[in-house]
Amino acid sequence: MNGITIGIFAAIIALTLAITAWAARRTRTATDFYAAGKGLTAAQNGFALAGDWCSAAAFLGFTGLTALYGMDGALYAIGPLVAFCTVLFIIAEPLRNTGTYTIGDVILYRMKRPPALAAAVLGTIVINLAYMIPQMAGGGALLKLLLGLRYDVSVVLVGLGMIVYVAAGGMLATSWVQIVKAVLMLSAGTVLLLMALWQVGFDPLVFFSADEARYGPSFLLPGNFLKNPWDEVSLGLGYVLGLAGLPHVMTRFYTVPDAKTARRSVVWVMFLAGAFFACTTIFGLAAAHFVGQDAIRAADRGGNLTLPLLAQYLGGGKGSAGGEIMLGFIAAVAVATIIAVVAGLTLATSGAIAHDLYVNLIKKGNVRERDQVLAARVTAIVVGIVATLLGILAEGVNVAVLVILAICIAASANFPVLALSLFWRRFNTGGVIGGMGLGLISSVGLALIGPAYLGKDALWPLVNPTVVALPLGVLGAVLGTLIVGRNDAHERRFDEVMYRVHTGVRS
Amino acid sequence: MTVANLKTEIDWTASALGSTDVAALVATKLRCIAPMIAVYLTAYLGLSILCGFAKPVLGTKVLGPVNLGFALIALNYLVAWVLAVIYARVANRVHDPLVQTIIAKAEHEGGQS
Repeated sequence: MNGITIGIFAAIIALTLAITAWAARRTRTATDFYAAGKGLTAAQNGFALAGDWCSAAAFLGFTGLTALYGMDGALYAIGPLVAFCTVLFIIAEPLRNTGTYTIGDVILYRMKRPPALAAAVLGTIVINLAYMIPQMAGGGALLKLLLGLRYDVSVVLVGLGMIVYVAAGGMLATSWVQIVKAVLMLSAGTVLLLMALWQVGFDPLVFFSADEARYGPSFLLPGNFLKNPWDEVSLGLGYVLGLAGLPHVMTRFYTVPDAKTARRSVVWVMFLAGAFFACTTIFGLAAAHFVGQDAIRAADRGGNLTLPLLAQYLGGGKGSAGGEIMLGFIAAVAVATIIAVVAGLTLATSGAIAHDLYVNLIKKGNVRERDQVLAARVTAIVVGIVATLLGILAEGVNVAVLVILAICIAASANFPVLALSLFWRRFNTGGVIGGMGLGLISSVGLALIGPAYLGKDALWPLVNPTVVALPLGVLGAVLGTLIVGRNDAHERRFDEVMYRVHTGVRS
Repeated sequence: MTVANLKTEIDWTASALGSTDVAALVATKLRCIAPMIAVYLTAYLGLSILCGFAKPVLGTKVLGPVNLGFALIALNYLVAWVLAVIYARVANRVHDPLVQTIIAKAEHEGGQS
């Protein structure tokens, strides 16, 4: 698009490749590859979590939604912060204490049964692919816009980047790419916030009154984007429980030395990402005021270019040096965001396939350390290629809805199974299969017959099926447990499980 | 002593070692997190339900041009941050020492058997 964008973008790529080269020399064991040697500090993991969790959908999407639809955008932005309460209070420390590299580890340790692990792996793979395809498509669209490349070439470049980071540098490179991206994103956010507030004398209330005067009172009310009231409730439920079932975020808690550090890293991300999410609401309101909805829609009907446009305006407007520098910087950060998120997803998927499926399920753990790392690298490359191909096929298809589906499956299938494995004495393999099965089938089934795919002919009114799929997932978990029935030895072993869940001691 | 490197041999079937202490730890943790879970779920899901079914109420102006809906969104940020800080303090000061006691006890008894 312009020299400044390409320059900033090239600098970011060079920095991340240097990080990868550094990390590759330090990645020798499976623990290095999957968990960065379990050596990250709370602040490092907090920044990496912020880099992992703030996808382009958050970075660009929340701002655009707020600018075009008012309060619904702000509602989208608060969910991902509140979701960390669930992670902090219920999941993070037990997960760190119990597992090694994956969510599947927790299920396998609790159940000791291959079918339970297989169900957990299936959930992880489906969620990660559903989450990854829209990111690849978004990355392709963004690179196409920035560098003027063809869509498929752009997707291949994104895919190539993530394969190099993950296969060569493992979790250490992925973590630092995410940290760099988080620092860039938060600095950009701070600069934009100060510039936007400076224009209105540091009184953000001006944005509210100006937007209300211009777009009418309904702008500041909910329901402009989510028309069905149950979709608002579904969105809330999906976020607040779904994050704790997202494999690529949960695996980040294995990169720290102990549960206490995992806890402190959640507090870090809640302040870093939370502040950023709050800013997206201000940015959206400011963009509606400064840039105007017509100009935002003209650039992209979905509003995804709202933040770059706002940056351009605040920098001095189109054509000015300041405006182009700001636009280039925001656009480059958006691309870095996508690559950091897909790298985390590739790593988590390769963990589910190479560690859970190959090493634990097929080889029963009898794989030499060197071969484990080799299997992980090869899997990362294969996963990267598959994701790239799917990303190319996704051109022109509305894939944004897949993110909703991924979070819905995470909330309805993964979260109940994970939480019950950690806390319910009678929970068994039947429950894992019942919960995963019913949660997955109802999420995917209801999404396919809903308005996201069938439009006006939808057989089912909600875009986001969590409000029904989650109770069904829990029901499946309970019914599966009751059908398989009680087993004294399994329930007695729960004392040992609880000991490990709460102390982290591996006996 | 790092928890990750600690290896203890515990005979879970022969003694109920740890299980009562762990149960006490879980009860202590629950006393802390149960009310906190109730607070954030009420605040957040309550807001989602109001957005779906009580739009006019959320339009009530509370601070200049800011309506009740945006005020409740701001409240949710505050709730999440305050609860996170409280939880971290309680976990550091109450839960962690209990865990250390349990581990020390297990090491001691594990050494005897």
